[in-house]
Amino acid sequence: MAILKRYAVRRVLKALLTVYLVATGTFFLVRMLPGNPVEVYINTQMSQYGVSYAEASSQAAGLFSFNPNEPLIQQYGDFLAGLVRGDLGESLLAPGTSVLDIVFEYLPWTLFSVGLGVLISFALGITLGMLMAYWRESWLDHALSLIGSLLQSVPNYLLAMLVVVFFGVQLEILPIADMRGAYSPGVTPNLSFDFLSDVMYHAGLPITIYVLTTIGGWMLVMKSSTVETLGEDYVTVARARGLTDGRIRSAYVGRNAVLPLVPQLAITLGFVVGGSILVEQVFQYQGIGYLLFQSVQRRDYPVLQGILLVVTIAVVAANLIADLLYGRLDPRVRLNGEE
Amino acid sequence: MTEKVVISRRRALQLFGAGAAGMAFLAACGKSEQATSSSNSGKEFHGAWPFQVPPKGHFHEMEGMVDMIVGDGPYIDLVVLPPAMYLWKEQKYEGLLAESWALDAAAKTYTVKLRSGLKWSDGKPVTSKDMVTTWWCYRILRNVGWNYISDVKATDEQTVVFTLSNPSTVFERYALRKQVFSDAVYGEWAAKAQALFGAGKDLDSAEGKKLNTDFQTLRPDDVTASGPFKIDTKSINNAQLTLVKNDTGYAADKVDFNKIVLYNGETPDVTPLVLAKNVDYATHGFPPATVKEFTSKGIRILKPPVYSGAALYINFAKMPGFKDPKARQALAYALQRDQVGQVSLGDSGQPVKYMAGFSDLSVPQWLTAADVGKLLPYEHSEQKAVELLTSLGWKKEGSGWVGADGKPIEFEVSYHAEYADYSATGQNVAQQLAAFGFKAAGRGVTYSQMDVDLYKGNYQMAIQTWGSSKHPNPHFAFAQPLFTYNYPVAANQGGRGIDFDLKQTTSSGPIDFKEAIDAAGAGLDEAAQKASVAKVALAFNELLPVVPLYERYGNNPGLEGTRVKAWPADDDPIMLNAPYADNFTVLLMLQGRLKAA
Repeated sequence: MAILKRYAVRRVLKALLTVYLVATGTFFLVRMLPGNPVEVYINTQMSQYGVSYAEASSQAAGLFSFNPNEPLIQQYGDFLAGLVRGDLGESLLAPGTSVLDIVFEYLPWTLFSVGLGVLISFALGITLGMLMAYWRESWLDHALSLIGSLLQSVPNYLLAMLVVVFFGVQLEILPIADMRGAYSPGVTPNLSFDFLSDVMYHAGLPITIYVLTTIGGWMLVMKSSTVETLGEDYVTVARARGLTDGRIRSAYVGRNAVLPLVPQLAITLGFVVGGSILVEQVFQYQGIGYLLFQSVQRRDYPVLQGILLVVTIAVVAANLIADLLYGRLDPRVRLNGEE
Repeated sequence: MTEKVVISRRRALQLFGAGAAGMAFLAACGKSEQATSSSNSGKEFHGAWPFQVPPKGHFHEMEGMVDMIVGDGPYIDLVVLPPAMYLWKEQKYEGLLAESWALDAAAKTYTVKLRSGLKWSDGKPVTSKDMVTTWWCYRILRNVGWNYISDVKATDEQTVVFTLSNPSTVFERYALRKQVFSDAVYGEWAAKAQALFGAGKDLDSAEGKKLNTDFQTLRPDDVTASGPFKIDTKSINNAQLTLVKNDTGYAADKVDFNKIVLYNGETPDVTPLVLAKNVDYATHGFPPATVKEFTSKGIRILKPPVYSGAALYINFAKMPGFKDPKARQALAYALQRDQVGQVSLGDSGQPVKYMAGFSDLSVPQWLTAADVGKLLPYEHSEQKAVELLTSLGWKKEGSGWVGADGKPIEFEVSYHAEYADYSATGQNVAQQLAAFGFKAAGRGVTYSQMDVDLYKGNYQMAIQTWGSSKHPNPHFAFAQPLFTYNYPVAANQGGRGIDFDLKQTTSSGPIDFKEAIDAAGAGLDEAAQKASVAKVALAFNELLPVVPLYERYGNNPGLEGTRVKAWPADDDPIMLNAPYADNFTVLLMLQGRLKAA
């Protein structure tokens, strides 16, 4: 137990250090982006709206409390002080609106859509992977391997655009205008079936894209893991004991073959935000990736930092959970006392 | 004692299974019954404009704010009206909130009389107090309109008088074209501003900075409307929002539509919706290939002039060989401007005809026929280009040009990598000039860095905008290349821009561009302004401080026969209205000329 506690404390401290280092790195990196928010604002007003420089710069002076010439170290000090207090500041472009409010308005949609997509993809992927292993070299194995490889190689944003163009525009099967967004206009968020059903209607396309573009990987990894497990001595012994195929598949092979995929699943869940940026843009889905894209374009430093911090924490936390959980799922690791 | 939770493999797998099963169940679900219908039974109009949703997006819609929900696009003119909108062909204003307006040159005042009997959506009457309140609030946001006035007062219920501190006809546009907001919402802020400035303080004082910061955090629950539509706040999500009829608003009885659905998104997000015929009208900058696809689907392309376009900017500090106007004239002759325009924008990129430094459409309005006749058209002629360069001592060695110093003429043409039109322009210009014999290559630069480079002079040649799509007065068009991207303004960014000396000599004599351009927009005497405009235009045409390439026309899809009956013919005067300044679709609605199908 003492070993476990020491291990857990060490891992937590390491995670905190990682978050700090990444937060510091992102603080300086976002400020190295070409053009600060004031410049981007002035240039956007001029190039997109034909506003004269005098008007645009006058508006910028009235709008931004941000001073790009403030020493970087002072900005960094303010950022760290805020971080310690759990205050990520306010959006530069929407004064008075806290970054946390903005992030939490968008984050749940991404967690929901990408999280659900990953879970479905995982469940289907491991099932199909097992089938491929059991019937390896059959037509099913070849067909699924081909499909899995193809799907894995298509970037999710490209598939999203293809779906919109072919099924929405060319074939007119999907009502793409209706399906945009996280829920329909005029709908009040609540816990009713009507609302949940509407949410699923809108999340359907993004989730389908996430499933299609990740399922191939799970299938192929699960197949190879199952093939390896099938060659284990305990499977041969189970067969020798006369256990049924079904029992061997579920209790012996499946459970052990899926173990290497569990930490991978946890890490994938941590990366949900990164994978959603362009898909959310294509479907105009109100997720954190959509917000990140817009914040980068407009150099809204505090929002950008806030999102990147949330992403970092998600990845680090997922790794931590995977580390701590793995010992629980695999008795062999626990028995060695080295979790 | 709490029960110990054990996470076993069985439980983990059960969870995944349950998740998949739940998904399968919910996937069968559909659109909410509460959802707003998108059929056209209720005379809907579908537009598109990018906006932010709350908490970022808000209803503090005053010019100068960011992330307003509709405030930075043309549709705000249907919700919160300005006193008037400009008819670009007729060169006159059409009154909306305002009944009349007048400039008193002797008294140095500008008077606006509002219509009586108009009401806000909260039931209160629209009065002069609303306009005065609005202008004091504009002052908190450092609005440029206050550069021309010292005071604004209501002399009766409907009359507003501006006292001009810097008399100029340019102010008329600021007075008439800026939205007027409700005193019920903004009154207390106007009072604070009046108290601040009345006490002799300004926005740089501690109190001024606090007022500015506090004002920006104002978040009204709704927009109090004076126009024929108001925002249905419950309809807003990040995909779309709806404007519903405001029955007491101005022109509510004339407008033939009951509802406007605005789809959120930039060009790539909106394109599939236009193709699927979900959008009736969009002002986005669609590339030529997309426009072709629209046309093939039977969608009409409306081509309103934008009164600006792309030009070739030369950094004279890095390319001193082009300081001689003959070298720039040679560039103008060497380039096939019609090809550049076609490649960049298809039929919406029209080659510049007069090369006067402001829109070809406005040239006959500001220049006499005699002056127009003096403008060189620079029609494509390789022979003339060669003659001009040879006269400078440049010569062709092999297939490439070398300067008088014997060094090859080589340069990069930088352009905004993300802008489809400017990317095509930059590449085509580089190709044409390379074919002509210069060692020229295109160079894409990310858009945010490109503007910084233009100010700081970190380029050799570049593609950038010329002209002005917001202000009819050519002063603003001249200011773009000669002030903004030249040392007068670029100095603010630590550079010298194109580094073009504003004191030059033409065949007619010396000219001080700074003085002449300022004079073109100053004062109350239009004849004197026209004389200054002519002086600058002729000098611009001869010296070509930048080489205008094409004038941009909108490629606005206008879907007819689905929800909208039809737009007017292309030669209708209103179709000459600049879509980003005084949008013709908005005006057509307010006039009752745009009918539902």
